[in-house]
Amino acid sequence: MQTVGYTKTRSKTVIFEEKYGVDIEKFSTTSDVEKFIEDKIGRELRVIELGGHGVVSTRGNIFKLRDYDINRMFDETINS
Amino acid sequence: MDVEEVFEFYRTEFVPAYSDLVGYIGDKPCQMVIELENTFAHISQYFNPELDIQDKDKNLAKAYDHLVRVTLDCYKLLWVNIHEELEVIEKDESIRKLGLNISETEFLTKFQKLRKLAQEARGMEMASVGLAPIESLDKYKEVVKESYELIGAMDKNKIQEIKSLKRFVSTKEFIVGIIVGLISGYLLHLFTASPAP
Repeated sequence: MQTVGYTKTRSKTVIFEEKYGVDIEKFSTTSDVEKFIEDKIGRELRVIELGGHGVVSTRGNIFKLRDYDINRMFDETINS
Repeated sequence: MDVEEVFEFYRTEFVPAYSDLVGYIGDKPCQMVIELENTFAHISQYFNPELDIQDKDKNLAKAYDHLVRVTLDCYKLLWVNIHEELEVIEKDESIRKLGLNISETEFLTKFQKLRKLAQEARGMEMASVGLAPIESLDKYKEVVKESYELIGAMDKNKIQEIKSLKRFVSTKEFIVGIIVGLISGYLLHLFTASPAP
């Protein structure tokens, strides 16, 4: 498959490599990244909700689906 | 699409995006965890022996879509987070004037430009909905890069001094307020308590 607009070369990071002085090539999974950051900051990473925009959509269901609307958060910021 | 390509995307695009976000904020946003959970659910269906090949392929495509979405979301969340920090500077006149390594005008001009750049990235993504939303990835990266550079204009030592000075001024005002109140109360007591001639 050739996905449109997607090159297969490893994407460089914008902040991570510069901030921590490492090469992203050495990290294959999110677990590798998390372990490295935890070692750097000296504590376990916590799962947090950013921005307080945890919009929950019911989509017609009785039970709420967990769906965080990051686009809405982004749009509110660019239009602020 | 085959499953190797989905995981190749995971390694080449998602992991760098995730490292930028988590490496900057020092925590894991729950939004990322949820999207990864959704990705995993679809991939598990790809390996479900009860499904036919068409349904397996549909699930694989959905897994890829979730992975693309969460990759873009990493940069959107990261930018919103950096933008909040920049907004604190924008709203604080003393930090704006004294706490930066660049002029106030330069900061405000660049801050304004960032919003425009972010709008362009969002516009690019919206224009490619259903086609190739990943095309906007580089634009989102550019927004984050420039925002991060602007954050670098903050002089942390100067800002610390400004905050200390502000604390000192408000403490001084508080103490002066108490002294004035005590003196006023005492004088009032003298006038009201003195016997009439």
